[in-house]
Amino acid sequence: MGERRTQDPSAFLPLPTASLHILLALKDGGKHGYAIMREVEDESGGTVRMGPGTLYGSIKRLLADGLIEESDARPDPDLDDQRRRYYRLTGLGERVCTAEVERLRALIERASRSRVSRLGSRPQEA
Amino acid sequence: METTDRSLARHQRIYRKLLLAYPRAFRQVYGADMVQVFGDRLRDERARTGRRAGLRVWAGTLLDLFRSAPVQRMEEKMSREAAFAILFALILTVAVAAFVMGIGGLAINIALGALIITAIALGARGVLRKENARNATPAGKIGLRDWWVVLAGIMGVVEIAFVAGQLMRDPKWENGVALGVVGCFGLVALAGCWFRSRSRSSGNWMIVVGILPFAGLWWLILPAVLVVTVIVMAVIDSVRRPEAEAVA
Repeated sequence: MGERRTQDPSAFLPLPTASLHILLALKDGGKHGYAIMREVEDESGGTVRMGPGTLYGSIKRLLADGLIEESDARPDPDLDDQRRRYYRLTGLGERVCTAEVERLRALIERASRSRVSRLGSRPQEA
Repeated sequence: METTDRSLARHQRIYRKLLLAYPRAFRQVYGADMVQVFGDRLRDERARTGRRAGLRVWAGTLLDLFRSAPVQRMEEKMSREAAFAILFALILTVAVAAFVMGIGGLAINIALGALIITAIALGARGVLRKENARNATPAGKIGLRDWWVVLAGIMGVVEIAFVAGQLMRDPKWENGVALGVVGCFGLVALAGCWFRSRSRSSGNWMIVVGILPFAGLWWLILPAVLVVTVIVMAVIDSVRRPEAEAVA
């Protein structure tokens, strides 16, 4: 109940921050939970630190929305634990991720042209 | 090395206990993964910054728990409450529609049937919750047989066949409206049987709504037994496998 089944990416926007970070982390291929957590932390320069509850709460919603799916692909058993669950982006997930990045880019462009941004860069008065 | 492993296992055991803050369904699906992720983080932090890393990891994890557990609790509660609210609204609509159409007896039947069914469904949910608490079987792993879906499908077909038969026997406009409503319920039941493969929980609820016209015959033993059986099985299936659709 309550899950979105539409294929229109704009219906999912704006994405919660954690969800966007997870989708971005999965852009390069399937990963397990801890690998996603590390990727998010590395890519954000340590500013976004996701705990297990936030991570799996977001994964649950992304699965329900069909933006990610569990992956059967397993790495070499010598390199990793076979019991881990791997996740990968779906086609819809990729489109939603791209749409959200475009939305944020447009927002930043608008902000950089706006008075708000000019106020931030105004030199201090003596 | 062995001491480190034992210490890590102890931390994981404590974290596993704290997971009780999350709803059972969420815990059953993601609990083991969360404990593993917590252990991975602790191990990595220790390797990087020494034993004091434990404090930092615990602080972050507890903050995360305080933030995310209430959200999960609220989400679970809202989805269940919403399902029951929708069901009640539909039953009420059918009862009022029957009353407006001058079928007072049917309206009372539907209302009484709805009350009985809801009481049984809530009772079944309570019993199941207790059973789940006793044996922590992972959600999505229980091989419940779906024989009752076939039963629901037959009930849907019977509704449609009844409508078709009545229309052929006595094709009047007044009958057509009421029979059309019953036919729509039959279609909803059949659609629910099919929709379960896409979304188990939504399909189950469509089946429950679709067989409601049978509840109007609660004073006949067989239809009442069929309705109660299907509804109880739908509730059991939805409560036992709330996350299966998310994975499917």
